[in-house]
Amino acid sequence: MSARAVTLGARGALGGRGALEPEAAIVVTRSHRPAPWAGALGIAGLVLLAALPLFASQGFLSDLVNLFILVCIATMWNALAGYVGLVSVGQQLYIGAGAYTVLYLAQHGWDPFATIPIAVVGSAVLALPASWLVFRLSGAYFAIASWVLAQVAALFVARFGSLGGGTGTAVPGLDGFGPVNLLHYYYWSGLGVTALSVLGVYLLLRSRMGLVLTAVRDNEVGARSVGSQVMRAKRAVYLLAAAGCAGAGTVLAISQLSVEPGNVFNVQWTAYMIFAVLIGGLGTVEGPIIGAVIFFVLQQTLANYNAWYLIILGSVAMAMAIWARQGLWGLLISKVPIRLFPVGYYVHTSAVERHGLARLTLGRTNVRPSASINQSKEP
Amino acid sequence: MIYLNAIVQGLFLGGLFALFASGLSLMFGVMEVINLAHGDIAVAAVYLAVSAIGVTHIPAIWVFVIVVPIFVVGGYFGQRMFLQRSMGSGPITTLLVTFGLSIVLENVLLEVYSANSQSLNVGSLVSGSVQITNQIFLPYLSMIFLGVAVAALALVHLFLTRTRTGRMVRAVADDREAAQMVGADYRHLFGVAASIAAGTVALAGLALGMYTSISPSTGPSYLLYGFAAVVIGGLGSLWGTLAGGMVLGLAATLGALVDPDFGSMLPYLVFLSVLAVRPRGLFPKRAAL
Amino acid sequence: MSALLEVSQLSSYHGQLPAVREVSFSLQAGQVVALIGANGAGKSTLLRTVAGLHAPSAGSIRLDGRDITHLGPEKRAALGVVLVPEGRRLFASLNVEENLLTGCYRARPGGWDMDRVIELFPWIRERRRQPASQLSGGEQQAVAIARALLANPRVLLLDEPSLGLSPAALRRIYAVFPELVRSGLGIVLVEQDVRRALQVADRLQCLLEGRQTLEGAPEDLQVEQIEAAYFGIAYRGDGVGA
Repeated sequence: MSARAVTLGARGALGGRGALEPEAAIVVTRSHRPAPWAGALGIAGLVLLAALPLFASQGFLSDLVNLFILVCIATMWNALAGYVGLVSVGQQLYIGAGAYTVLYLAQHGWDPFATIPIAVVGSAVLALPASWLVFRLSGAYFAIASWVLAQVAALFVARFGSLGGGTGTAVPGLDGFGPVNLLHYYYWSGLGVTALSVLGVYLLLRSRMGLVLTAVRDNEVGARSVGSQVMRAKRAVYLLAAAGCAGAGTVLAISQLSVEPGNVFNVQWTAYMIFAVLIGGLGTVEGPIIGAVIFFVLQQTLANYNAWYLIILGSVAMAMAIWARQGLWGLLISKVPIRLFPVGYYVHTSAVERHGLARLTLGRTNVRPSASINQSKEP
Repeated sequence: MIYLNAIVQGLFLGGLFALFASGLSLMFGVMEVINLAHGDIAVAAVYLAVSAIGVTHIPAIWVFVIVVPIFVVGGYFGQRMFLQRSMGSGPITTLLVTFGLSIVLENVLLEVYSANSQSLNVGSLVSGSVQITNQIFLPYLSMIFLGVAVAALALVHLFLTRTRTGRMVRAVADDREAAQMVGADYRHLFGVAASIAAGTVALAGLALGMYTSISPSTGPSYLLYGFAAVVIGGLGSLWGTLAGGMVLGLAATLGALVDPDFGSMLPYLVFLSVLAVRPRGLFPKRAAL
Repeated sequence: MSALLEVSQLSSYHGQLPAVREVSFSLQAGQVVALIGANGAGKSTLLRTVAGLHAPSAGSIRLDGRDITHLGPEKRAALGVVLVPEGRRLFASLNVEENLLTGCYRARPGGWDMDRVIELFPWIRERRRQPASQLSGGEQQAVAIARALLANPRVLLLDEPSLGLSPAALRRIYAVFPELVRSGLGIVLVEQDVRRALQVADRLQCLLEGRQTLEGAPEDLQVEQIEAAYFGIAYRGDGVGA
């Protein structure tokens, strides 16, 4: 428990109300252990999905790859907006960066599948200078600057005729695999990239750094008291999101056999992420996955009606953003006490009680010294 | 000489960017909302104009008489019934909702009108121009646009400084509570600001539709140019926005001398450089009392 | 006769903290009620709740017998309950004249117009084109009061008008009080300076941690009694009510 606890400076968190001795602090710990069966369920699901190529149809497998990409990018966007409050409209930058790294290296004789880890790491490295620029901004400025970066990147790569210019080009080196093997390989790549992305976000959120993020997410005073830690954590999440989206971009490039700037750098990808997260539930690990599945099912069901699925999903997402911010997963867990991958926290206020302060607010939980000592906070 | 011509063209284009930007600037200044669907609203105005011309057969140059009032009214009710609700749940929600609106609007246009690009045919006006020297031409249409942009900005300025309601819009931008204390209903004034924003951006969209051809997916790039003009020119200053628009217009036409793609890229690069140096823009909004 | 303003059993929260607890008072036309109390006693929250900027958690507010508890702040202002907020809150990008004109936006019919407020604060005439942000604290306070008067209020809620003012500016602000009262205005005044409040008030209300600890006419109250109510210490005076 102590390894998973964060001590918020009492002076900061209490708004500088009094000179408290150092040990008088608020201790934040995890609200729930992960459900023991959740891990087993996750592993069983992964094994099942990994074994699917042995008996499922090719059409189904190739559809599932699209679902994996969707789950991956939705999870990444949720990590940004749901945990560190960064609304990016430019995550397509990293999808494109991943796709073009695959293309470039494959053109230089690399095995396209071998380029995936390089593209992922490379995009995270690229995200570092980008973060210096966009992290100076906040709110709408951040959103639009990230969008402009993606636009500039699209126009930039379109200037290279060797990369296919504005119309794009095929990824070389995929013919040798044969259609069935190729499908299986990129299916497994997609599954692997997505599983690692979700795991990465979950581990980051359950780490000490993630605890700081979730604990201060709704609390300005608390956020200021651990400001530099939050900045580092924000940057870490931004780099992770870049890496994850780049991973999705690599799978996209290989599964579509070609890369086109108007496709990989399309803001539509960010729309997919946002709609899936808003429908599933912002700020939970499970929400984006559920949202992505719903998005995917509707997309498949309405496949014959062009863009109407997007219009419907977009309208539903907007309505949920206004009237049901917790999303479907949030609505579900408010009725049923299940937490598959809990990242909520407890606030222990023994110190507050000892000093007889009237009230303390952290998160949206009103902590009264006379009431119970532990208050839980679920996002 | 070719540069001089590009500069003249850039200034004309800048007027158009400024008209795009003025509504964004007003809405951000008054209610701190960046409407990410701003560009798509302009595109929607063009498609509505295409339909209106098809039905009424009025000359394209006069179609704004039908289209702009519809957007002025739509802007007011869109704000009161839709955006105002999202503003209650925090700035992130507003950003997400307007982004969603942008995507939905774009795809509705795509479904209704197809992906084919459209333009508003204003006949001989497109090609007519005044020749100043043997290298410099002043196209009629560009001059009309610059005139319309400046006139529209001047009208908005007059409204904000000389009328009771305009004054209250500025007051509510400064201090919402203090405005309530003199009996102002900020929701109504937000609606007024949104309706001006929708009207000006519809006008800008129509001008754009006469100048070049547009498609449902054109919207976002004009949102970004407009936002860039606002940031470069300074929030809350309409004339600063005009200057910002002209800087971008120059970047676009001078960049296009290198090659057409560079012409769309250079305004973005200018914008990113400004953000890198001055994150809150060159002229940050004045602090409240 | 029903009071101009009748506040009964009003409770209100500041964020999640209960700031005003079951406060009642009434105000007649031409009367000044002063609210005193230490920092954080709930005076500003009480005033803001009466103005409609905070929703009360319990209790009611009546204007001339009409229940206004659930009206929005702009509706109350239009009915004549106008707050001059703490820190003046002039509109920074408007000049002095424009600031004053905002007061006329939803003004009730009545005796206050531009000429009359300039009569009250003659220096405004020369400086009406200046940005409000260039005025001194005392001048800003005068403009804030003038702006409120132009709405022709029936109840004027003044939140710490003396805050940050020089003694001279303070005297000038308080010098207009008799005229305001003569015009039939009811004033609720929040004032840190208890001596100043006692000079102008017809009734005194003392708040401590959101609760009323003392109520009465200044001439009926002992200094020790007020001190006791102000600081929350037991009063052992022998002249209660004397």
